[in-house]
Order: sequence, then C-alpha cells, then structure tokens
Amino acid sequence: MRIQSFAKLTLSVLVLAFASACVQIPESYVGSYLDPVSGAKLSLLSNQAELLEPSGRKLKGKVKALSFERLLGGKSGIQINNNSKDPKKVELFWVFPRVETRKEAAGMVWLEAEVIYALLDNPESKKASRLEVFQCRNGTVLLDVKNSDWQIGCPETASYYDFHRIKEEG
Amino acid sequence: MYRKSVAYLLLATFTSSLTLPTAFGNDLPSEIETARTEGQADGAADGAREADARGNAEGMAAGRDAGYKDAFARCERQEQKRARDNGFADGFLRGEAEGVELGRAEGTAEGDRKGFEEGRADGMRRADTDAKREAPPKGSAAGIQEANGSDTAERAARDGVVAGDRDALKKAEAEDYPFGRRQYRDERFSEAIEHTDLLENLLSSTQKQGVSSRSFVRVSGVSAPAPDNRFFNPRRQYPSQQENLAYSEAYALAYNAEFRSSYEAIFQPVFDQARRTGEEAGCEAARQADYRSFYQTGWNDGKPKGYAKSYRAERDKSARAAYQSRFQEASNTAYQQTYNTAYERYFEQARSEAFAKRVGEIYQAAFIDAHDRRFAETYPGHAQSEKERGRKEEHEDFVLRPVRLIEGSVVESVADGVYEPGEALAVSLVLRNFADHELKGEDIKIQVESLSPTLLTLPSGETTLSRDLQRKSIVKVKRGFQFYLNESALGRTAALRLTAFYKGRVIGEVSLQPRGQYSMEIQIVETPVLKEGLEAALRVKVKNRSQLPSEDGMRVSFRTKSRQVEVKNSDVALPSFRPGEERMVEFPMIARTEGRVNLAYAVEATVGSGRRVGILDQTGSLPVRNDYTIEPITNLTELKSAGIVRLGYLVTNVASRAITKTLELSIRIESKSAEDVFAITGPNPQFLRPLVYGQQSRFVAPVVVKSSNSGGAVFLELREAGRTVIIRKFEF
Repeated sequence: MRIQSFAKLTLSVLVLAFASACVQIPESYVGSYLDPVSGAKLSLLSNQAELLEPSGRKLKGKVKALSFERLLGGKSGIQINNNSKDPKKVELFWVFPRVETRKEAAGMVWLEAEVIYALLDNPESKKASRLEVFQCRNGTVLLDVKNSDWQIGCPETASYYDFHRIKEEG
Repeated sequence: MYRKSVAYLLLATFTSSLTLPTAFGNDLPSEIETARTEGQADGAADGAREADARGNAEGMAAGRDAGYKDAFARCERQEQKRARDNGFADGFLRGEAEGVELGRAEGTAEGDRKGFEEGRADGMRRADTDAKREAPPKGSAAGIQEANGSDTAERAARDGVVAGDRDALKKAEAEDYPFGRRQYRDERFSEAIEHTDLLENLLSSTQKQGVSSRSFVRVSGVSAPAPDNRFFNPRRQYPSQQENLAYSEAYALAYNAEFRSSYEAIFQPVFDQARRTGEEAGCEAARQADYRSFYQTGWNDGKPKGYAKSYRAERDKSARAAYQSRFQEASNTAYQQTYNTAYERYFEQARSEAFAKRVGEIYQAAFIDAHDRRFAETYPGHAQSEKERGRKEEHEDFVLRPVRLIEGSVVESVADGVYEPGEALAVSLVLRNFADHELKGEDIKIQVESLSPTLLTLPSGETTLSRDLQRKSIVKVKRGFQFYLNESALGRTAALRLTAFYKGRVIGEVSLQPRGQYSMEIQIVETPVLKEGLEAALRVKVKNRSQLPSEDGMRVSFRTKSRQVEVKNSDVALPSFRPGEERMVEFPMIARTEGRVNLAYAVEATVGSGRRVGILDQTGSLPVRNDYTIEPITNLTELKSAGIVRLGYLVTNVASRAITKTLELSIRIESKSAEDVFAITGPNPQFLRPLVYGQQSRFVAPVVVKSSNSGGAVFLELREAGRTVIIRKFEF
C-alpha cells in the first residue's frame, strides 16, 4: 500500500516536471482561425502552428523554447511564456531570424527576422474565440549579450490580423 | 500710487513727444548701421556680464536667506508643538489630583449652604403664591371706586385743545411747506429755454496737459531687476556724431535687455540650490533653540483642564448629599415668616393698577374728542400760510442760486461702451440758468472729486466755467474733466462726485460710477491634458464686448515663465471682428516634465500700438499624462566622454490598454556644439516587445561618442502602432 502511494507520488512529480519543461500552446487556443477581412488563416496545435497568408504563402513552425542562446545562434522557433506583469496572459513569439543579417557591436547582437506575435488572454479559462496577431517580415531580434536580455519586435508597418475561430478541435 | 501713476503719465507724454533724427529713419547709411550693430554686441556682452555677476551673488544670498527662514520657521513650529504637548500632559495629571481634593471639600460646604438657601426660597415662594391668589380681587375693587370719584375728564379736555392746535401746525409744516417749494420749483423748470450752448470743455490749460482726448496712457509697469550698470562701458568712438549716437543708443538698449533676460536664467537655479542649503541650516538652528516656555505654556494649559475634569464630578457628588438634609427645614420656617407681608404687597399693587387703568380710560375719551374738534378748526389756515411760505423761500433760493447742475455723465474718448484702463475719459455736465439775465462764468465753479483714488487718476478736480451763461439758457459741457481708470479698476466700480457751485453755494451734485473693463474678454475654453513631449493645446475664447469692431491685427499672446512647458506659437494675430463676436485661439504646447505642471500664465490681447485690451491671469496645476514612461538607467554624463556608452533605458506602460500593438523606440542625441559627436550603433529605431498595462521593459542602445564634449540632450521617442505616445528629453 505504502509502496503504491510512493509510486503514484513519484509519477506525479515526474509528470509535473516534464509538463513544466515542455512548452505548449494552451489548450484553449488550439484550433483553426480565419481573419474575415484579409482571408488569412491560422492553425494552432499544441506543439505547432501554421499561418496561411492572404497571398497564399504558408509558414509552419514547431513550438520550441527560444532560449537566449538559440536566438543568439539565429535559430527559429515559437516561444511561449507567461507575461511578467500579468500571469493570466501568455505571450507567443514566432520568429524566423535571417542569420546572414547578424551584426554585433558594443555587446549587442542584432538580426533581421520575420516576427509573428500574439498575446493569449486568460488561456486557462475557456476556449478562445478570437485571437489578435501582428506579423512582419522586417522585424528584428535584439540581443544584449552582457545582460542576456532580448527584444523581439516589428515596425509600425506590421500586418494585423483579427482571427476568429472556425473549427473545433476534437 | 498716485505719484506712480503721474510718473507713468509724464513718461508716456514724454515718450510720445520723442522724434528720432532723420538719419535714423528707414534710409540708414551703412556706417550708422555698423555702429549700431557694434553697440548692440558690446552692450549685450556687458549686460550679460553684470547679469552673471549679480545673478549668482544675489541668487545665492536670496536663496540661502529664504531657505533658512522658511525651514527655521517650519522646524521651530514642530519643536514648539512637541514641547507644548509634553507640558500639557504633565500639567493635566497634576490638575486632576488637585481637583479631586478640593472638589470634595467645597462640594460639602456648598451643598449645605445651598440646601438652606433654596429651602428658604421655596418657603417664601409658597407664601407668595398663596398671597397672590387671595389679595388682588379685593385690591382692584378699591382702586376703581377711587378713580370714578376724581377730576380726570376736565383735565383731559383742556389738554386735547392744546394738542389739536399744535398738530395742525405740524402737519402744515411737514406737508404744505414743501409742497409750496416744489410747486414753485416745477414752475421755474417748466419755463421756456431761450438759448442752448455747447462747450467742448471748461478746463484750464494746465489740466489739459494731463490727458489728451482719444488717448491711452500706460498704467502698468513690468517689475524686473534693473541693471546697476557696473559694467556699462560704451567704449567705441566714430568719426561722426550720428554714428556715436547710434552706437550709444544701441549699446544702452542691448545692455539693459541682455541683463534682464540673462539675470533670471542665472538667478533661479542658484537661488534654488542655495535655498536647499539654507533650509538645512535653518532647521538645525531651530532645533537648538530653547522651548521651555512652550513646555510651560502647555503645562499651564493642561493643568486647568485636568483640574476641571475631576473637580466638578467630586464637588457635585458631595454637594448633593449635604443639600438633601438642609432643604425641608428651611422651607417651612420661611413660609410662616413671610405670608402676611406678601398679602399686603399684592393688595396695594392691585388697587393702584385698577385706579390707573380706570383714570386712563376716562382721560383718553375726553382728550380725543377735544383734540379732533380743534384740529379741524385750525388746519386750513395753517396749510395756506405754510404753502405760501414755501413758495416764497424757494423763490429766494432761485435768486441766490439762479443756475443749477442738471446732469452729469462719463464720456469715453473711444465710444465703444467700455471704460478701459488708461482710456481718456471725461465728465460731461449740463447747467441751466433760470435767471432772466446773463450770469458770469467766473462765478460758477465745477468740482469733481475722486472717491476711489486707487482706482482712477484725476489730474485736476476743480475749475471755473470758461464763459458766461446767457439768460434762460442751458449749457452742455461735453468734456468737463478728464481722467482715466487704473488697471486696479478692472472688474470694479470707481466713484466720482461732481459738484457745482455758484458764488460758493452748491447748485447741484451728481455721483458717477464708471466700471473698469477691457474691450476684449478672454476666457479659457478648454484646459489641456498635457502629454510630455507631445503637443496639446490651450484653447481660449476672445470676445469683443465693446460696441466697435476690434482692431485688425490684434495680437493674442500666451506668456509664462515656466520651463515645464514649451509653447510652440505664443502669439496669434486676429483679423477684425464685430462687437459681441467671439474668436477661438489655440496655443499649442508641449509638456517638458511628467506628473503635473504648475503653471502661472497670462493670456493678453494687445493692439498695434502695444496697448493692452484684454488679459486673463491664471495659476493652476495641469496634469501630464502619457500612456508610457521612459527613463534612462545609465548615467548620462558618460556621454560627455569619448568612447562607447551603453545607453540603458526603462519603458513602462502606465496607461495604455492596447494589446498586440507594435512598439518602436527612436533615440536622438543632440550636442551643445554644432559638431556631429554622437552615433547610435545598431538599429534605430529599436523594435520592442509589446507591453501590457503596468509592464516594464528595459534594454540598451550602444552609442559611439566620437569626442569629449560639453553635453547635450537625449531625446527618447516611443511609438505604439505608429502613434507617438511620449517624447522625453534628458539633458546632460
């Protein structure tokens, strides 16, 4: 009896540890979305995303934690993290750095990148019906090597999408 | 005040009479222009030198003194309060103990005494009540019987005859005499007027020099530090007198102007710094002072309060016990001792009252009858004689005072219906000669007296009429006395008294009450919510409340000494607009601070001659609200040294509820020198991660400083989705 309890406890701890280390798109946001104005489409699975631009261009990416080191190496990926101010909000950065544009000076590294950003509101509560996103091909990744700090952003000319859920995921 | 106004008046007169030599007209020879330019340069340099010397020294002295005094007073008050509070507490406890002891002793004595006194009073009161009920009926009957047997009716009839005669005469004097005068006067005023003369004015030449018609005088001065000219040294010499004159005048003007503009810029920061030093010294000095007298004051205050708190309770308790045992015994004794005396007193009182009342009734009836019969017999004769006396005396008054002041009013030099400060105003008046012969002007004196000396300036207040009055004539004097309202009369009513005399006798008096106003009313329409680094607008409404169109090109200006706001266009010209119409004027401004701006400012309307025609003075605190704040987190003085500076900054979303919007930060650095010293390394603008409400983000921008420099300013501009949300400027 005691051995069984101990085994359950150990299993629970391992599952929790794995879950916290594993980055996923929140369940409430998983699904398909359409921007009725531009015609852009977005599909979100727990570990990958796909964006179909109005022009027909398609972007696919896997959720992969964008550590400072990965960004420094010019790797692409989808970063999901809790907002530092409001824990009920989750930030999603989807970045495709162009390694050939990498420059460095005075302890700062910067690369040009295609950037997609969304802020997921209250992802623990219920299924999201809408999702606002901006996307730009001429964004930047700025890395402060001295402080291991980063900024990912887009210029004001970014494209804005207002996605509405179109399909329930099974 | 009056002397100051006269001084301004003379200055205005003198200035208006100045004429420049022809050589200083539009067609200037180049040598004179050169001399003037050099005079301006020399004068400005020397004036700035004096401002530097005095601004530092005087700012230091004034600031230290002000800081010391303010802080000393503040800290002294705190120490005084502390000492008083301690004294109060100690005194209170001491007083409380004394109150218990003394209250007990005094309460016992007091209760015993009071029980005796009130018991005695109670017995006397009961005796008095019983006597008052039993004695009056018998007393009244005795009084009525006595009155009916007296001679009251005969005496009242004699008195009534005398009073009736007297009242008839009194009524005639009060009503018929003034009627007679009024009747005669009305007859005179309805006589035909044979001549009407118009006089432009009646002033002596001396008075005319004071204010000319259709003019304005300067009635306010700007208080600014005056240079003492310690470095005043116009040193260049030129071949011609005209060049020397041009140099000297330009030098003097530039010296004065530069001194005034530089002085304040130097004075204020030095003053502020010295003030802080002075505050520390002042507070320390205050703490070292002796506050024993305040302790004693508190003690003196506290002790009676403690005493009062305990004494009264203890005293009352002891007094009640002693009182009970003494009261009843004293009451019974007193009743037996006082009843008979009270009975006799009430009997006599009732008898005398009944007698007097009955006598009054008998007297009144007989008196009224005799009075009314006598009044009716004698009044018609009295009325006729009093009316005739009134007419006769009014006639004699017209002989002595054949001319009268009929009317007085205030006349403007600019007939726009608004009495403006500085506007030449005049008192007009109308005189009427009732005589059938000519009257000499020299016998008629007109006097005007200011009853509001702080509100108006009246150069002269007395004169004689400059021409004779024709028989049966009216004379209208258009501009009798000239005066002007001071600026202190704005929104207030001034008062003048106009009095006319004929051979020393008053022939009329009129009170005049002009109210000071500017022709332009200026009101704030919308107070802006300022944004640091971004443009907002203060909107004012200018209303023409005069009866004339406004002057074309009238300027509306915004004035403030605050450096917390930067006004983009402080001077707006307006085309002419009609009476009663309004115009909106906007002053765009940029806040150069965060939080709040404490702003003292004035919006002023002036016309081409420089004359003010409207003003709005305001002091207030305006909020500065941006959606984001930006702060540097690097010591900016590092930018003065050559090398690479990692310019750190902190961005905070303090108000924006927008989410999923791009953020861009642009950095611009301006050097005090003209050289291109700074270069931002890396992307500029930097694209930042979006921030939710309350969230902060810090980052860094490398700056290459090419050479050591004397400083400059860093401008940080943040744009949210292409909209500028803040521009902050940091000087280093």
